[in-house]
Amino acid sequence: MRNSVAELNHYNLVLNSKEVLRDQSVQIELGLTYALVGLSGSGKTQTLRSLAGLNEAAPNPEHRRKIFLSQDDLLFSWLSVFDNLKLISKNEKPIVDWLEKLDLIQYRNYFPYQLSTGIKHRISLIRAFLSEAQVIFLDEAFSKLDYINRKILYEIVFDYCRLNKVSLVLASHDLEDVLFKCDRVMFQSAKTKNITFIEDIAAGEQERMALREKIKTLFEQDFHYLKAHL
Amino acid sequence: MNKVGAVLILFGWLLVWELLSAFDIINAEIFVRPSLVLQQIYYSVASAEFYLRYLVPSLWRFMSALFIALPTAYALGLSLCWLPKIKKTLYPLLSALFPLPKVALFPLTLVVLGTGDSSKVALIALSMFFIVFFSIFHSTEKLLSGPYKDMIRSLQVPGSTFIYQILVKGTWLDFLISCRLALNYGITMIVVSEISMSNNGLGYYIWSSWEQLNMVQLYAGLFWIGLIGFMIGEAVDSLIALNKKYY
Repeated sequence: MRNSVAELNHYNLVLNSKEVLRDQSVQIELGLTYALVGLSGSGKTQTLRSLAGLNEAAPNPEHRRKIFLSQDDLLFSWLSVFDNLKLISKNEKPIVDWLEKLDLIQYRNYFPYQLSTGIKHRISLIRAFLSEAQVIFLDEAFSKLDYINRKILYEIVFDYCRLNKVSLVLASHDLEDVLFKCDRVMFQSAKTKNITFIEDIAAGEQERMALREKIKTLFEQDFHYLKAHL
Repeated sequence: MNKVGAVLILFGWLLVWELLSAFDIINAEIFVRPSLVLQQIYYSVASAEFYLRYLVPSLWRFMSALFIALPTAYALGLSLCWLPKIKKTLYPLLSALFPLPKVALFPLTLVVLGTGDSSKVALIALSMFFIVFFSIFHSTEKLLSGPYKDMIRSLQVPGSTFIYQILVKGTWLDFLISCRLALNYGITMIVVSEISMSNNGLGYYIWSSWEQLNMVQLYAGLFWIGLIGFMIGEAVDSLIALNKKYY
């Protein structure tokens, strides 16, 4: 049995008098990568935020460092790239090493307003890596990027997480391009407001086809439910 | 419009005023000719008494109030947001005091601090304090609950780095903007505090001119107080312009 780095046990969340999560139970294990899929508005973001300990009532008993990255506000606009990275790393060497590794050293004194969205994403990833978090949550983090940039960034994240045994949870309504890079897939249902399906992603092509069909069916069922209840 | 253009237009208006006054189209005793005012300004520049009795006391009171009010307001505004216990104790008190017109507190400061400089400095400081305090308080609140909220909580930035790099730097632009308003209000309060219970300062200079019906000196006094306001405003505006791009 692997160590759990984040979990929710029968967790309920109400925001602005609206039930967002109901009886949510999920466990994120150390070193595994997860894809959390589901329709828009099904509660994926709040599941991730709760797992990351960002919702008030969500438990974070072991105080593990967890990094949550969304698609917006990646860097503090008033700090240079170097100062943004220095927020969590007193040592300058790993900062310089990472900047050199991702070919970003020339941007060290730039401010966020001088950078493209792709570079800002890279810098915020470096900051996540420097934090030595045990789990990284990406909430539609790269959805503003084009396909090529998205692919490059997913590769950087997967390589880092696999090499350092860091858990990774990706949430999106469309993870087609990275779904099968993950170890597990989870489906968040808009109907039940919790994760109804968790499965390991197998290596074989046939099993993957079957899994894809299964997820597609779950999406359709949820869509019909929402359509009937809107 | 560039600054040269603005100055030229200003001089144009002064010329119109000069002509209207010179030909008695407007009441020349009230709207005295600007050339006479310029002459008075020139005399005051050359007069040691003007500096020692009028300009320096006003600037001294203003600077003292500034150094008391701005750092206190900034520190309190920042700390009240992330120290809930202090917020619970102090915020209701400060909110209750805020709507009080600060001029109305002047008699109270006179009773408590006497008729010397302290009461005048206190009045100017109070007027500046509330503007900066509420601006920084809301700016910090917005910073900690707005779009950066998740990033701040997620990164768990350690104490002193959090205060300096996130809170202080994150609210710096709002601080400068609030200073712009507070300093202008403070200049108004210099005049108010020196109008009564004073025998020096620019407020006294303006008031005594009115009492003597010396309109030339009155306009010269208005020029000096306006010049201080203009110079401070320009200095803060330059700082705002330098910092704006980062926010």
